[in-house]
Amino acid sequence: MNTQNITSFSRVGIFTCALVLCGCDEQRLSQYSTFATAGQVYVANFHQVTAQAGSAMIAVDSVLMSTAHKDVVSDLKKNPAKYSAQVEQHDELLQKYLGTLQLIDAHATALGAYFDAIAKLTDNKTATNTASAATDLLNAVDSLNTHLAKATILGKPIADYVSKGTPFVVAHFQVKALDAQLQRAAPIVDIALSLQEGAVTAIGEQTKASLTDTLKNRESTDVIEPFLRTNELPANWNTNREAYLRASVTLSNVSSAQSAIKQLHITFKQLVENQTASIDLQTLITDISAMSAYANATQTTLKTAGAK
Amino acid sequence: MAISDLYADTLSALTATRSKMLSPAWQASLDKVTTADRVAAGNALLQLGSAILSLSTASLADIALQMSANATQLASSTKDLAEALADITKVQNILQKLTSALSIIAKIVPLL
Repeated sequence: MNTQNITSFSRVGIFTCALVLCGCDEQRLSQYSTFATAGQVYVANFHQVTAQAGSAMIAVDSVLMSTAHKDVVSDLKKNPAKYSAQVEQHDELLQKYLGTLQLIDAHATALGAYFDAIAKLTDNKTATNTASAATDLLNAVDSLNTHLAKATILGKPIADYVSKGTPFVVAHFQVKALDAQLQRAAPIVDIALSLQEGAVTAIGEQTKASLTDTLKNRESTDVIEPFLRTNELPANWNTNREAYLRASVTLSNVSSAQSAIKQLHITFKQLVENQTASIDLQTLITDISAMSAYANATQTTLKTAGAK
Repeated sequence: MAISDLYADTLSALTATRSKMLSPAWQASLDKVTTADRVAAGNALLQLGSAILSLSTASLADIALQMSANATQLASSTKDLAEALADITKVQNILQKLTSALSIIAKIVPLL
């Protein structure tokens, strides 16, 4: 876990402990604060998930192109324009996909900034000064919701990956700035969290398909083929094998991001709907911790692959 | 068949073909064919990559009409391709079926 995540999680832990000690109103404000911090940690980790999704798509296409290159090598000099056009087309299509990922990432960033503002609104000392900034951030989230809903992954707009939930009523809260903010924000944040859920599902599917082929190829070229050669194993064989195995484990944990955003959404609804319900923040923290582990493993995998 | 199912089946068939064509077994099969066939296989692989990327990034709403117009041919060509991949040693048969499927996909998304 990197330093930023450790710091953020220490904050989540401190807030959780604080819940036990506070009165009812303060407890609810504290829960908002915990939720907002968990949301920020989710966003920090989500950047790794989108980075991996982009890298996975590029990696499998690069494996495909380098394999094709071996096959057409005798024809390259005769038809350079044809092959140049092929590379350009692949690059353009990958850029299109990366553009979609960038939009999803920008949406998550705006949501994270809004969660930060919400955390400040729970503090009476900073609430008034934060309200205006929170409104601006909410407008940014609202605008990005519209764009993200239309963005396409695997043929479907992200909006189509969203499972329709039941509408909810926002409870009233005693901290005026928070109450005013939530009355307006709740439906927008609800849509934003639904879209994030949809986006994570979509990029998870895409990443799995891309990584599976890349890893199969990697096992074959980096692990099995060198082992079958009768000369000595290459010096980096152990490292390559470990990188392959670790990447395979990372792939199997891609669903942790889906669990984290789903739980974030559930917790948000619980928080805004009911002032007295007991909120399952522990599950949220557990799910986001699992996502942190996945995001950090991903970061290591990408670094190892890049260093090869 | 619903267009969304046809889209998913097509992309799945193409992804499965990519897996086969990146495998050591396929490369071993190519070691036994002529240079011209090997070049043809490389070109088909490049086009296959374009087709996967194009379909993955396209909006189904934008290509639904073309998919619908070519639905029967598309379903049958991807089925033939899947059957051909069962014997990876028959390079020419696989290339023929792949080229045929790609020519139909080229009517739906732009391929070079």
